[in-house]
Amino acid sequence: MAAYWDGYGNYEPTKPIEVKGGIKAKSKRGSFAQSWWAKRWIKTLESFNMGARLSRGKSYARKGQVTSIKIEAGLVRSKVQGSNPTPYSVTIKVRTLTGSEWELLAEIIALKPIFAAKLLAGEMPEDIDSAFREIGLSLFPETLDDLETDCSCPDWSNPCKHIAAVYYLLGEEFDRDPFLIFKLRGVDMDDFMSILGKGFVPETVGQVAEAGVLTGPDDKTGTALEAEISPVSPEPLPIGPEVFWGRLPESPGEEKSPSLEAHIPQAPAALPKRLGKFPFWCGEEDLLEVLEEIYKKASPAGMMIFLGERK
Amino acid sequence: MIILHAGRVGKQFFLWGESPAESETPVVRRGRKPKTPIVKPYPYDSGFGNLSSALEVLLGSTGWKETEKINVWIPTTGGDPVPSSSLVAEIPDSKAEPALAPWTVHAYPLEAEEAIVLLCACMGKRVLAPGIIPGNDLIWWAEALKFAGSLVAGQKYLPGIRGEEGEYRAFWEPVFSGEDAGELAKLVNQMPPAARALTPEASSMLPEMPAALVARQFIEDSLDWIVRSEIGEKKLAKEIRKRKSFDSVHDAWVSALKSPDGLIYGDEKELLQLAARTREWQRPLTILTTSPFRFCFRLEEPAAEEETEENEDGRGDTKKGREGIADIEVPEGHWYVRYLLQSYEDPSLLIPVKEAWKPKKGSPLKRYDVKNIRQFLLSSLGQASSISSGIASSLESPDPSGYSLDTKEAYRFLTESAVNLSQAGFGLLLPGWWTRKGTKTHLKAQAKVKGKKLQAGSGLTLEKVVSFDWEIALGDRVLTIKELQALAKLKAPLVKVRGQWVEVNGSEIRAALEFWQKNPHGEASLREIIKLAVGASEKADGVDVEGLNAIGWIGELISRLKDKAGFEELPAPEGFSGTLRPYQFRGYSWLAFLRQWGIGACLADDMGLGKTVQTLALIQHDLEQVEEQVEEQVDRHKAPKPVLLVCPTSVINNWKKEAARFTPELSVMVHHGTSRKKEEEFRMEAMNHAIVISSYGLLQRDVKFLKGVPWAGAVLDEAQNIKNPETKQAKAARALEADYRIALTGTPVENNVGDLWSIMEFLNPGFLGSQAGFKRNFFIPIQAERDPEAARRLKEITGPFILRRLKTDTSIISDLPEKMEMKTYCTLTKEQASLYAAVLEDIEGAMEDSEEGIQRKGIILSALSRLKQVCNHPAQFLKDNSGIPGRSGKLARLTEMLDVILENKEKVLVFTQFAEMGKMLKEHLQASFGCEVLFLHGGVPRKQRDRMLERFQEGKEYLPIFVLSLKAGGTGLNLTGANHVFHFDRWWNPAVENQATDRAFRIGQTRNVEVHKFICAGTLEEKIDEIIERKVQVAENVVGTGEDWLTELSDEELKDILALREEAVGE
Repeated sequence: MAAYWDGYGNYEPTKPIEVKGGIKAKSKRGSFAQSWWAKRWIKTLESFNMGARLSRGKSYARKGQVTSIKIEAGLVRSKVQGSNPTPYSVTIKVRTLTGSEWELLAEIIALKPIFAAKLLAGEMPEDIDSAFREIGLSLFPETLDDLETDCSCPDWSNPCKHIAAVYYLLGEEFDRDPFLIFKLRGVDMDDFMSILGKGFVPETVGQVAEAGVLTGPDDKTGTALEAEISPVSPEPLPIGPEVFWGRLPESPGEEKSPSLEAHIPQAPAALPKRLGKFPFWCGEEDLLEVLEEIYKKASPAGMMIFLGERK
Repeated sequence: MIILHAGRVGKQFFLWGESPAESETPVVRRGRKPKTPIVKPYPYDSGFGNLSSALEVLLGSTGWKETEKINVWIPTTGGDPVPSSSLVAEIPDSKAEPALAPWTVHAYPLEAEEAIVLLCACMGKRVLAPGIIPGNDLIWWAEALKFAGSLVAGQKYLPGIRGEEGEYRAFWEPVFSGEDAGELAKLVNQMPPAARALTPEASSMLPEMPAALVARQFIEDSLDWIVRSEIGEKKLAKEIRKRKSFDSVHDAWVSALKSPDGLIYGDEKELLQLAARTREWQRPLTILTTSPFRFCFRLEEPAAEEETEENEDGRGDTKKGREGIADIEVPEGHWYVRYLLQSYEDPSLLIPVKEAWKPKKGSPLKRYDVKNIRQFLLSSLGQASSISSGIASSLESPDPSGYSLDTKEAYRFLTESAVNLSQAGFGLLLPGWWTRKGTKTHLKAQAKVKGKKLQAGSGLTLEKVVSFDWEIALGDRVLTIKELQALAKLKAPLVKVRGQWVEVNGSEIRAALEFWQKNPHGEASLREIIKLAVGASEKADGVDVEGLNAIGWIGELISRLKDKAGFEELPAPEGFSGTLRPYQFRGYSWLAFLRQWGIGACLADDMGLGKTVQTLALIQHDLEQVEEQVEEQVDRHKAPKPVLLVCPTSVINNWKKEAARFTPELSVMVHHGTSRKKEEEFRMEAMNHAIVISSYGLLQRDVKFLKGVPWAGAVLDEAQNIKNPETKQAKAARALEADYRIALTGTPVENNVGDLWSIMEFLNPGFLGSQAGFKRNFFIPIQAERDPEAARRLKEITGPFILRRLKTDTSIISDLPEKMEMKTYCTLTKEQASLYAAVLEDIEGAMEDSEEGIQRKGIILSALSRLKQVCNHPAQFLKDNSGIPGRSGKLARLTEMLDVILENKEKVLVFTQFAEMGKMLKEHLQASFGCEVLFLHGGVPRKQRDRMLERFQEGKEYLPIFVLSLKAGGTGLNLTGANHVFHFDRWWNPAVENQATDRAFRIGQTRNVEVHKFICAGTLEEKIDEIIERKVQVAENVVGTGEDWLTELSDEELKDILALREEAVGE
């Protein structure tokens, strides 16, 4: 194989160590990212004049060289498998917005419910940028000043291809959940709703849910699986024989009205489709395709059972 | 008899059963008290044998593995467990407070698939097979499985992962959103606690797992299993999976999701991260699924324009004058889409979103956190905004509550956005004129048929080809070409026709114009025309072809069919003896009307209204018609053909008797028994008779030559026998060649959607389409989707062919007597017949040896009693406790009749003079109908008797059958809860029988009472009945109060009375 000259005098083998089970980009060729906001994110990277590192980064992302990505407020930490047996550590730091900056923003966002609505529904509102610009900010890091990137690889050029690979994969994640960009800028969903609340009904912010029925999403990242099953309080069996055996007064005239319905939806796999791409998907097969096939197969079986026709 | 119960221990589904105890409770061990209380065996445990034979019947396979012992915690009073039902044992009437105690039972651990098949077999059933009765807990599990099935069908689940006991499993998890959460809660509420009362044998812990958790876990596990079993992938060896054969944890997950057991191996940290990612992935749903509200969109019509002067001047904002189509207008007001929140708990509660942004005091929304409501509103709207741009633009200003649209936008909302929004889970409240799919006024092609005046008896059949003109109509407004073109020019998708909004879509107008220009005329058989008329529709060249605009004779024919009115009311046929009630005249005339056109008819009158009589009248009438035609030489070649009448074996004699009574001129041939004629011989014989009676069993066995006979008519009595189209008898029925077809049934056929196809296919082949098409278009929409529109359509299509009149409908049946006495002629089984013959022989011998006087009298009385016992049931005669089912013609008939009566939700009294028979009746009927049967005999103490009467009359429990011995229950009691009285055997004194009948037929009775007197034809029962009939006037004197008068008869007379005639045997 031909060697690769990176233009800085460093000679590096073309082939990184092959990784199995790395995060695989959904994009198999051409450009990364489908949404305009993810494209915006990638445009920033591509404006850095990285030359061939960019396409190397892309192919790293597609091959699955990136083995992990963690997103925190203002910080992305990632591992990328290069030619060195030990994976390189990549960090991307983004300046977070200050509390007062967020508050200013909230006032503007509150006036246009479309912003919050789109974000909650997993979409970046088209003119969210204008809201940021009104207070002299930008949602997307646009210049090198907004970003601080680092990689443990020997290539002293920054961003290197490893950073580029992570950057591309982040773009795909933003496709799925635009809120990650906000998270990166220091505000998660809960904070965001609270900030919005100030724009709406200031006096109720911070109140605890009374009925607890409409509880917000909980992000229990990293908790043990067993913890999910909440401890149950025992429910003693009733001792009255009538109740115990379910011998409720029953006359043939009062049969249970059949309220239960079953429908096979016309468009299959609506639920997972609504959720979109699985976060940092590493699987060989496309999850949604796998699911769609299974849903389609299982629906008629469910209908048969509903009709009591399984034999 | 076994009552099946089920429950889970851990993840294992166990089936156990209760049966009446064979012996007394086992002896309690005495001696030193053990530290832990000894768990005693449940005295009503069905045990291994009963359970495995029940499973064999239900699941087919044999060789069931060993049972396990588990404990069931059962309410126990004074050391005795209280069984689930009085079918098992008398429920102790103890005042002592019960306590829960563990009892050991034998239980079958069922595999997941076995459990599913078993539960499917339980759905909607009160009895699974004779003597196998599902307990309320088992029925509940079936309901829960049904729910899981609906979730799978509706694709309301997601892949997940969970860890249990150090293992990780990929799992298909249900998503209970909105309505489904409500269904789950309802199910939890309905769970009989017995369903969660099982513990392992070793455990002394009370089962206290909450119902909600038990229900949820079962539904989760079932759903997971159903999905997994459909993927059908083979189980991978653990080792293969354990080895790092997957590139990533995601690959391992996908593989585990498809595998039969879901087990997934790998680095724990990675698996935990996968679980976290799964939650992150599912998060957007959580907001929507946990909401107690559904987000709804309501499309509101433009406010009705007031009839102002401006409008009358034509300066209003409608285009009607301009376009020149009278009574079609295009209003230009604004439509509005309003955002609403609909409570799942109370769907009638609709809160405008306008109020939800800032809930005021007293608002039902005040219960919830404002932040959460807002998050729900915003994410719903955010999602909806990508479906409809109108919704998106409404979000440009604060607190959106809806938006307005013009007519075109409203049309787009109805046709596009509404569908997508509803698929995304939003509620849609659309105007009624839009949602009424089938009745919706729309553009369609209809056939315009003209015909001259209808000539009765003109020999027309459904095969006649009729020519017609096509016309295009909007609802019932027929359009001219000009109007259609003008409508196209309007380019308004929604117009108002005579004040009613109607959809007119451009491409449909174009298709209609094209269709019209291409086919101005058409031709079709009368059969096709009728199909169109009753509502079967199709699409041709992009145009809905449906409906009919028929005038002249075809119009008349169709309106007669649809309204079941206007046809000729016939006088009783000449050869018909007996009188028809007015509604019977109508029924018979209706049959004749359909017969005239060769259309199959289903007469589904309530039991007791005389379906037999009406059918016989038709057969007689038809025959007379043919004879007339032959005489008048209208059709010289026409020769009378026989009618084939197929019925259950138990009513063959009844038909024969009724035919002899009402149509004595018709010669009847019974095709039954081993000596029956076959092939050509049968054919010759059949052609010499007017009616051939046979059974369903033989229909199927002899179909080869039965179908070769050119029948005038094919009549199926108790036509529910062919409800399953796959059965041989249903196929055989369809294979018969007949000029007319009639199905008789007393069950509410129109309610049993699944049974309709087969019966209709017999009557009028092709009317309901193919079986698969029927399932798709009617069965699933009605049974699974509860689509009232499909139900309405089915009713419309089948309505013209089904006549069902209820006894309770006094507007139609006003002249029904308050008490109707009917004789039911039964057959003997072979066993009964040979026993009967043996007893006769015995008696004859004894009589020859006997002297006159007391000895002779004793012999005769004992002979009478023994013969009556044989007629009742061989086991009663033999007194050997042998099996009950399948051995008595009377019992078979009683069971069949009760089937129909119970389905019609009526209650019955059954009288017998023999206590042993009463006991057998109770046992058999309990096993057949799965409900307690009350039995009053001489040995019942007064207090208990009063309690029985009370329970029967109260109607709180399901106790539809009361068996009484004539002696104990024949007088004094008030049992007006029943409106059917059966005399299973006869007391030769009408006064005694009438007194018994009067238990139900007395003050307080609000319905007509039907009295069914069972008589074994061809036996002493029939003879004696004849004598009583003849002497009924002087009965009191001659017959006396007992049976003594019989002993005064001469030997010859006696011989004649007791003799067994050939017709008695039914097989």
